[in-house]
Amino acid sequence: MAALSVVTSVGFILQLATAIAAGATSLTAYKGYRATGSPTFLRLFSSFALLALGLLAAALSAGVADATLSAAVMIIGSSLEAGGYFLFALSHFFTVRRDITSVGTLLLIPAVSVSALMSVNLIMSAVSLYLLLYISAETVIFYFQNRSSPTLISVSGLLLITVGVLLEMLAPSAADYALVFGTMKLLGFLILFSPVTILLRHRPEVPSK
Amino acid sequence: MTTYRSQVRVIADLLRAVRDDSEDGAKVTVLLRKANMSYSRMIELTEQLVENGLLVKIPIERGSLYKLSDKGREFLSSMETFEEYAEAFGLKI
Repeated sequence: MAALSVVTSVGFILQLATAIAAGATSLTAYKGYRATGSPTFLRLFSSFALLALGLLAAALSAGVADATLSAAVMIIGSSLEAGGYFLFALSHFFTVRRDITSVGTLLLIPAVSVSALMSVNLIMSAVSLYLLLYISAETVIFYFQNRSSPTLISVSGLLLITVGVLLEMLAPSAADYALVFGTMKLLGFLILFSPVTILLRHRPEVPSK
Repeated sequence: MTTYRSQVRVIADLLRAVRDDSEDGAKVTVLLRKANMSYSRMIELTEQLVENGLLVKIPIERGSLYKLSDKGREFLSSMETFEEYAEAFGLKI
């Protein structure tokens, strides 16, 4: 019982840290939106803000004593997460639209996710998984088109999150595994935060309007 | 494949074209070729950027030259940094 409690506490800390990493990326994207006025950054900001809120709700759900309320908070969390991945995917869609490869990626992947229709929470995870696979595929395509090495770092982060979400779907009740996929998601979000070093290197000013 | 350029990228391309041209200022004809846009759109955009203080318009005998202002230089530098940041996510601004 005590061991389970420790696992739950560590799981909570991991989820909280992941939410903070997503929130930090969201703030950086907001800075980008303020500096450039680009809708890409607005979508990136909204996406990571939703992800941060979703991850926070998922972390808090474990602490709710009432089982029904806990499940409801978890569903809200996974829905917010799926919404965040949707906005992220939308940014990719706008970047590479009219590309036949993207449409192919969009059509192929649902087969993986539709088989998991067991609960609302699982459906939301399946949606997140589908969107993550789409985002990862688009990011890889972007790398091959532009040969920009920081893109590869993001791909590794996205793949870690994708595997984390996949494991979460396959073994949702295994508390021991929760630490494994929790760590994978945290590492993934930390890697996605790492492009902030580009901004630290150049220190751009946000021009006054 | 059609390449779509957002308004932000069009502005960045124009400011880059001005910066990369002569120190004394760039002519509209040169900018038209480098920034790849129509004449009317170019005139409208350059006027807007002059109004916002990003470009400086220098009248010459036949037409005008355009130079980057300090604010324009700062804006372009910031834009290029954030462009690199967006590319790390596989995105274009």
